[in-house]
Amino acid sequence: MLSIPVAFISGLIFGFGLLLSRMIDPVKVQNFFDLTGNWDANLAFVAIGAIAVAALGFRLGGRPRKAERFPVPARASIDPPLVGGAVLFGIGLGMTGYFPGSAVASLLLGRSETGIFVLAMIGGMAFYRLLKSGAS
Amino acid sequence: MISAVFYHMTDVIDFNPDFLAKSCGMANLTAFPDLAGGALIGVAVLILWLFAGRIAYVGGILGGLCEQFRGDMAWRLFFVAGLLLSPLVYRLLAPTRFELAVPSSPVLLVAAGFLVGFGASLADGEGGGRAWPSLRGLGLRAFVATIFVMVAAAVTVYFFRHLVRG
Repeated sequence: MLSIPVAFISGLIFGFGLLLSRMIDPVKVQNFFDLTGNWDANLAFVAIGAIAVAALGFRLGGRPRKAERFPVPARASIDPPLVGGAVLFGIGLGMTGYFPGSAVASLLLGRSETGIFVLAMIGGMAFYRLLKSGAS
Repeated sequence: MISAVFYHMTDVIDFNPDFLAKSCGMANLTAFPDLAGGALIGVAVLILWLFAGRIAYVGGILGGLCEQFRGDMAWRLFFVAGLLLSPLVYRLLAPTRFELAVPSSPVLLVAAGFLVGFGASLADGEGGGRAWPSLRGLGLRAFVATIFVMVAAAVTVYFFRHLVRG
């Protein structure tokens, strides 16, 4: 059960990254997308930092240490659900500036607005699964 | 009318997590906390991939928790627990005020939350949070998704900030 402490530590460090880079600030996130207005390009540095570290690690580290049988991925190509989902996600992101991760990481800071967003987000995820189970 | 419903009111409060930048004597370099924060996110992604074989995509990890009868709930719960507790632990390590300017229109929050949750699940397919045999294909999907997310977010911000409000 190595995956449990690993997952906890990963979640914790992920949160530290969001906090330190201020990605948990919805207005900062919106400013990144506000190209014609109050543009704040600093969020690009977050992406550069994350991609640099992850890419280097993937290259050096290779495959996971854990000898586990992995399920074969069902989809590995570009398809309409990927594009449609990304567009809906982007519209929601632009409306409030919350990512799923940043909303969860700021939930215990006690703003009711964050709680409303997180509940609605879980509702959206549950609704997708309801549709999927109804369709199959 | 629309602008009344969707009016994006924010109350801006002091927010200063730059203790690390200051303690390193780099307070003037605003890119520092962003780069360092990004690097931490990269480290978190790597840890989860190398030691648990999972992709640290929060939308997918949360989405998996919305499914019944799954065998891989525990690590998801612990990842989310770590994420939830991160500001409290961060504050223990360094006294910081995390008070933010947050959008406060309930209609906007509910609509945005629903779109983000539904969109994340729809785009995710079987990818996020699942165990993957390799990263092949995932990089391209993530790249394409990121482009569409950014364009849609930029158009939406333009709409609400410059058309509806302005």
